[in-house]
Amino acid sequence: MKTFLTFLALAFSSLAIAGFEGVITTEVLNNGTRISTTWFIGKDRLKLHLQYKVNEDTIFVDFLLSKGSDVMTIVTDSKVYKGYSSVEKSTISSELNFENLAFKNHENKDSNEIKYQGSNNQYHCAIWILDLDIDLFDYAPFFKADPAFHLIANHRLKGFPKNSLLTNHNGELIYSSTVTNIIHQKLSETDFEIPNGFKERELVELEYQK
Amino acid sequence: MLRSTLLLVLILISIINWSQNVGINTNTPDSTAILHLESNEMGFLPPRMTSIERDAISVPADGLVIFNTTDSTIQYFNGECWMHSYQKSCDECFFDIVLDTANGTIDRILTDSLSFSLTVNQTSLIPQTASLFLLHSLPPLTSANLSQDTVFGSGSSTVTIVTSIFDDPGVYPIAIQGICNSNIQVEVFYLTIDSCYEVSISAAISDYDLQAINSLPGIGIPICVVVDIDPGIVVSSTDPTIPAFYSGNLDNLSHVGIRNLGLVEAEGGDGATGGAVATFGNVGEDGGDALSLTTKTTIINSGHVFGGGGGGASVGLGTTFSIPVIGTFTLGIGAGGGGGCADGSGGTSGAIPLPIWADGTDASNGLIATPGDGGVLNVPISIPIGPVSITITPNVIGGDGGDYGIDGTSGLIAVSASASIPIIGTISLPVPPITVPLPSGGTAGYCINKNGNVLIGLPDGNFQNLNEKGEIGN
Repeated sequence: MKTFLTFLALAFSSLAIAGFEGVITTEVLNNGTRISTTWFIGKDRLKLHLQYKVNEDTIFVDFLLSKGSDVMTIVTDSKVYKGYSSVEKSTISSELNFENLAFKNHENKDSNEIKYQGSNNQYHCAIWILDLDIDLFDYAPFFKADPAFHLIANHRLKGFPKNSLLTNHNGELIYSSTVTNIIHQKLSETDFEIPNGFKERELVELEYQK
Repeated sequence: MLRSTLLLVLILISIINWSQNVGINTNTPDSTAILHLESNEMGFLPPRMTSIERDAISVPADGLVIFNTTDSTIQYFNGECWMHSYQKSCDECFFDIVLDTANGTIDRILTDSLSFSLTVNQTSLIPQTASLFLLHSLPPLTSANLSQDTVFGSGSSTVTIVTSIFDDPGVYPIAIQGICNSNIQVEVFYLTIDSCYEVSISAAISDYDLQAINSLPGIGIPICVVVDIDPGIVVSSTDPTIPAFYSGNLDNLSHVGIRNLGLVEAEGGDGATGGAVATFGNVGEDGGDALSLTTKTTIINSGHVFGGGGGGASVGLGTTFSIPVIGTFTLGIGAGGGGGCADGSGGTSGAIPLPIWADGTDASNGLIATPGDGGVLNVPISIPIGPVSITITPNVIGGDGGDYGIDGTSGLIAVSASASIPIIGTISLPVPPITVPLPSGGTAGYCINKNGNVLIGLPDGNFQNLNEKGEIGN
């Protein structure tokens, strides 16, 4: 653990100079379901990669974003579904009530992370932002179910959420996200492109049973 | 010659010498007579001529007498016209009335009417106008009318009598009265109205078969029968395929009279059940007929005759959704149709139930019945698929049952959807409109299904009023 934190500290100090480009993996716990996520962070691009199982079928889903764009491309690959679709930013909302989640920061001068805490009439929330040269502000409207992006958007923060915790007033965990790995690497264009063999599809396609 | 001359001289001498008046076969002529004839063997013979010859006399003297050979009457000129001895004035009217038949019968099976003619024969010297009148005490729904109620001179008129199946049978005299100036002539016609079978419905009953229940004569024996449905009595049916009131196996020349003061209500069609995703639901059942005729019928409807409402259609949809993030999933949803008035049952899920289903509701019965509503599915359905949750919000409504005499309706299927994805949030998913041909509601039953027979008392048409609901015709 000590080695990992040393590595993180070295990585952050060097990356902060030139702007971060690389891969960050996180572990998300959402309403009791654990999901591994991988963030591909480019200069003006971002890809969130999810992988999970539905019945016996493993589904891979990529969410592709470009800075300044109002559209997110969803690329899905599974045994029964292969294709990509576009989603307008305006069609995304959240059932979680982050309004009035007033954050206060608790800066730790010995650390490269800043802790933010906030509460509203439904939730208590704590978020640790790593001091990385990452600007997620443009992408925040596409991640409305993650309180860290609400914080980033509202406070115009740079960095990446190392940890996020969202509980209700009964202390029940609603959402958590924890960075498990950070790799600084040069990403290629193909990391943000739709793979060959995927065709564009409607967001909802219906086939009536006969 | 000598003898004749001598006789004339003697007469003249008598006239001159005696009292200025003449007696023939009498020596003592009445003093008030200028000419007195006496005979037990011969008569007085005035000039004999035809009417034409009479009328050729130029300026006849007042009191000039002739025997008219045209009508064999003694006539005299009164200074204005040639008068009969019994005539009071020049324009006195003489006529008689002759009927072509003195009696007739209306059986009310093959016919409800009859006609006869009358002839006015006038012998007036100057043709007069005779006015004709019918004097009678016919039953209230029976009428008698003259084709023309005046005749000038001689002529004819026709009397037409129309009766009703609801009038009392019996023998009714009809006096035909003619009046011409001060003269009156009367002839009498005797009308016989035959009797009909009489049936009364005084207790609630279902699936009424007039011929069978009352053991009335069937094919081969035409009859007339009057049915009274008493006030407040309900005649209903137990199934939309059975009329509430059916004339039954009467001979097709029979005549039925229905006097309704009750409620004749047909069974409504049931709301369709589910299970048919291939046709996106099922068609609603047709409503029943209130009155179904098998022969000529006359109706007086002071009560209510309501055809059954059609049942509402069901809707059913089995569809596979293909959505990014989750892949595919299949959803089966549907709703039953509402029942038609009266008493149509709401549609249930049927033999092959769809997973998500809403039953239609039942219709009620009676004068103020309420049709059943189609089942309604509009509660969001959340389906967890891995870490993602899909929420389907259906707007699935079965067709409504029809009120009395009104068709059931088609249903409605629409769906909206959203996907809740960790980190991302909730994406509203644009579900394509479901433009499938949905089954139709059931057709309303007839208020009165004529089945090709004659109906008297109500016109054809589609009605929604206090007394009739539904179509009359066919």
